[in-house]
Amino acid sequence: MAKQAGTAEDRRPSLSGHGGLQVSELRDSLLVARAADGDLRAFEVLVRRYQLRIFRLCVGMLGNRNDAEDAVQETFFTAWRAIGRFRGEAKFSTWLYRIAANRCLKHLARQPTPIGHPTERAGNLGNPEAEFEARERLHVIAKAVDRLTPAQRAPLLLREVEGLTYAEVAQILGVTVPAVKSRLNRARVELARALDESL
Amino acid sequence: MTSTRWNTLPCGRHPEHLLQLVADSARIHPRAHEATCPYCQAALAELGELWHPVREWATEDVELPRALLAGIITRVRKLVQSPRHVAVTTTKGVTTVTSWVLGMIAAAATQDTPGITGITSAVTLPRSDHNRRRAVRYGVDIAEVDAAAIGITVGITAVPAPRLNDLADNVRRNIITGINKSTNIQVDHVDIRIDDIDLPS
Repeated sequence: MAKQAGTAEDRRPSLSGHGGLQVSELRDSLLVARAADGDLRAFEVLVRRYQLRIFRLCVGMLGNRNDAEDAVQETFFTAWRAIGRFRGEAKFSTWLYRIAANRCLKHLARQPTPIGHPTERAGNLGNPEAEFEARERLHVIAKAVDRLTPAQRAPLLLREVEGLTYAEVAQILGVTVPAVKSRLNRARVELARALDESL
Repeated sequence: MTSTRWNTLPCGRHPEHLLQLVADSARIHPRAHEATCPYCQAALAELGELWHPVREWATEDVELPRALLAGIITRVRKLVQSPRHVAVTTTKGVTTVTSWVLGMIAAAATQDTPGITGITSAVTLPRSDHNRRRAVRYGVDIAEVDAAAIGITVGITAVPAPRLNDLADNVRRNIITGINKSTNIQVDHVDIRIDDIDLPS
């Protein structure tokens, strides 16, 4: 079929203007600029790039996959609506984490995670091939994470799971670096003590 | 492992402090106390072993819901295709008002202001404001500030008046009151551009 000429897509600057790179290979800043200009394809690349990280944070925060899926959808939906106001002072990923963390904290303020229901991070926690002891340890950790307050859980997940710096975690949570360190120290001690008692 | 693990070490260091070094995989300076103290060294080794499962937990695979990406993109596409709106949430439900409607109310309020003879053509918006294009009606530009507060820009033609600022203030007040009365939406700011003066022929 002959290509229809003159669509909005056709009038956009050619991707070849970026050194022949595919859209999926473009830097975040370029994709953000294109998304702010209404390019849904660029936004889709950003979603693909960050959905796993955001989902991982939301599952860790909320303790179940259904609520986490809703939170991720809301996060990206909010991001799309606000992307024109993203000024690039922080990394795009930091901005996304911030939206997601705020959404999870709001959700938990309304509906706290029930204690004793370990966080389902993976879809198949009961993998029969996994060693029993390893699964037990993961279970102990998951339970200990669920017992943390949301204010402790968020920095723990951002630092230990997402591997962010203290400064990035502080930026995401809108607190100072010493405040992050203090919450994180408490969370780590809780986790280590829980593990200690289980052994 | 026993609960005594968490007691202060004979050297005065506390295991909770050492745990942070372990968790951060901090590089200990060769001349630091912790690098040479046997109590600290032993505690660091034990804590490293204790912390190992946390590292495993942290790197555990997370399976993405299959329809997640499609769900996000479908929702965004619907938003792109629908007119921009502002939502007013009450305890009994949500009222959404499209920016088109807000533009009509603002335009009516402007035209009802004494001394205004017309609203000029549509405000030119920057290219990046693609979401606002549908809002440009009757020369009124609606920009959402947050969920229930909006900003408005309007271009007007006025009669010659000694104090055009007063005229602009009247338009501003009428728009704010008009929108707030009709929709309960708070207008954050109204920018007015006086584009022309209607000189008597």
